[in-house]
Amino acid sequence: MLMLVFRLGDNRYAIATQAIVTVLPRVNLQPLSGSSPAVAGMFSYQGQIVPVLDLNQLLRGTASSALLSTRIVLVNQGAPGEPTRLLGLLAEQATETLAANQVEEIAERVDFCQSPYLGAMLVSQQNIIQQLQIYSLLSQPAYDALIAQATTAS
Amino acid sequence: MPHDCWNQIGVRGDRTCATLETVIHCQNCPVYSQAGRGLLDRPAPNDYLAEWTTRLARDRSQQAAEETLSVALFRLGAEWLALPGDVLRQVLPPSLVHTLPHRGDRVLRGLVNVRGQLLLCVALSDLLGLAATPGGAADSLPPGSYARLVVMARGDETWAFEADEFYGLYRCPMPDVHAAPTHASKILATLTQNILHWRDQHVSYLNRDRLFDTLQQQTL
Repeated sequence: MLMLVFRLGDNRYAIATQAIVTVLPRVNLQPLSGSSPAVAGMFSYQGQIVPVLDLNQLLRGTASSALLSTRIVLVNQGAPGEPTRLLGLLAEQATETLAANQVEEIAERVDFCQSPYLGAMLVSQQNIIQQLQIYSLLSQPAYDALIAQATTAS
Repeated sequence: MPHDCWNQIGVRGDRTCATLETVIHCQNCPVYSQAGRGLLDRPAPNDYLAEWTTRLARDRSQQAAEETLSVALFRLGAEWLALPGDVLRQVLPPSLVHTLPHRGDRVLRGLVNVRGQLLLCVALSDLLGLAATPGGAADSLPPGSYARLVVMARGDETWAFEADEFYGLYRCPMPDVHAAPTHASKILATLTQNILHWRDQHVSYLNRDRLFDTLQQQTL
């Protein structure tokens, strides 16, 4: 298993690459008015409207920096066999991958917070990396509502 | 650690860095790769964002509509030729061709050893009647420097031939594929299926079945 590693502040997070469709450079996002601040906006990906979540905003409460190293990680939230549900994740310093044999899992799940999308804790070269469960980032009704809002706005 | 240690104590400097003993070259060192990634920590130019926004918005289905033909391009003497990409099996450096006793024909050159497998090697330039043209553009190149042994197959039928140069696989856009005109050399005309336009040249695209059938008739 391969993981994409990115940084939010001083902390490192990882997303399993099975769900990742592609990693794109940051583009100009069209803001969605009235949505939660974690929704950075939407953009058109090959004619399809994709909502983008700002992971920095979601996990730390500050907007992602406008640097070249901030990228959009395009993930498919649909389970295998279901129609694809593309979601963009704005991640800072998404420039590294880690193979599973380079990390060691120390805790399956840390249950002290209310965030269902935080997964296993991993250790790689004395650095703690927290895995993100991308399927829990945005529920299906919330995703459909975002798409509906984006379609009416555009 | 200095800011550009690879210029001071690394391979571009005096090579006194202790880490060099384990990583051998700075490009394998985590400090170097971290510095490379650090280059991305700068503001993105505005037109860069705008360009990617429009590029990603473009519908892929329109791009896929442009059909291409996958061909393998190689050169015999001064003439560039193309084979269907799917007949290609291997491209290797030229190796010794062992002649077969009592086979004096020019097309069948003999046997070659390709990774432990004995294959019949043919001279396509003789089969196609492409006489070596002295003084052509190909002669300005040092002889043999680009020569390759190409292995092609149709089903179980495998042939090797020597090409003077092998360009690689090329996806030829369909508008560049033209009907074959009558060629100066007759056998080449019957084997040519289409003419491709590539790098301001006209390249004969050989018909797979006719080529393999002719090879069988000529050699077996």
